[in-house]
Amino acid sequence: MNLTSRTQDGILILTPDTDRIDAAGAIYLKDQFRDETDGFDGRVVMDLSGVNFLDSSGLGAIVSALKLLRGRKLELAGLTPVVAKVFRLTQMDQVFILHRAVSDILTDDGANAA
Amino acid sequence: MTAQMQHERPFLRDADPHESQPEARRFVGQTGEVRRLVAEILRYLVKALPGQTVLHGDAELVIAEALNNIEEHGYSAAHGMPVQVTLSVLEKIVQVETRDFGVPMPGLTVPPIHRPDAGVSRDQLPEGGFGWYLIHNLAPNPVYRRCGNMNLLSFDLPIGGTER
Repeated sequence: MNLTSRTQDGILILTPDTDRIDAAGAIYLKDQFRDETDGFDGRVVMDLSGVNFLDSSGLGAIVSALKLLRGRKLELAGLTPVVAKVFRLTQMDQVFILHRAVSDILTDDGANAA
Repeated sequence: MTAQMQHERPFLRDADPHESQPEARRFVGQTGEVRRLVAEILRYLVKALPGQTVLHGDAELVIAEALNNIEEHGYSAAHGMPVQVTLSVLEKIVQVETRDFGVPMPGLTVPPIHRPDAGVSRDQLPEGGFGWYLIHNLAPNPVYRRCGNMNLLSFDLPIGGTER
């Protein structure tokens, strides 16, 4: 899997080019994330609206991506119901800033979790 | 002999309690193709229980986690090793059983419930261990048995899905 990146109003938006972040693809996510965020010190949002399956390996990769930001928050946007359930059950929804959609990231600075 | 027949063969040496259940449906595959096997199982489940989207999501996740555990730990990430999943659609539950010939589960039991801790510092956050926690949550009381050189893991998924 690959992360495509774009910048909108100074916010780096990373979008996985897959609808599944599973054991087979998770290993690439952390490396891609490191490459894309290296040297960038603004807000980072991962757009998960196109992801309809995330397993424990995928979740682990997203947690490891958070650690790469060294103190900055990682924002996640557009969690689909199945993906949101994985975050909620494991309580990992508490360690990210969640947005309903990427379109919310400018009006929602993260204070209001989805 | 097709590849599929070769992979079915080891499982046929054992009496299969599911054989007598007309609702039981058996899926045979191998490590390295978990994604394909899960997709095949999900297609069956969507057809057997249309509209049960929460169940479909739970089943896809729990079966993928179980198969990933078999691949990663049972077979030490080796590809091409046989796995079998049997589904029995009953009135209120879907019974699932996985079989493999990997190494036994440590302690010959399913790992205890270990809730991930979100309240720790960022560096201490868990990056693994989520899989069994998800299985325990979505398929309560999974049962593990070792039969000869075979691992059997069985669990029930409530039709209607879980929401907690």
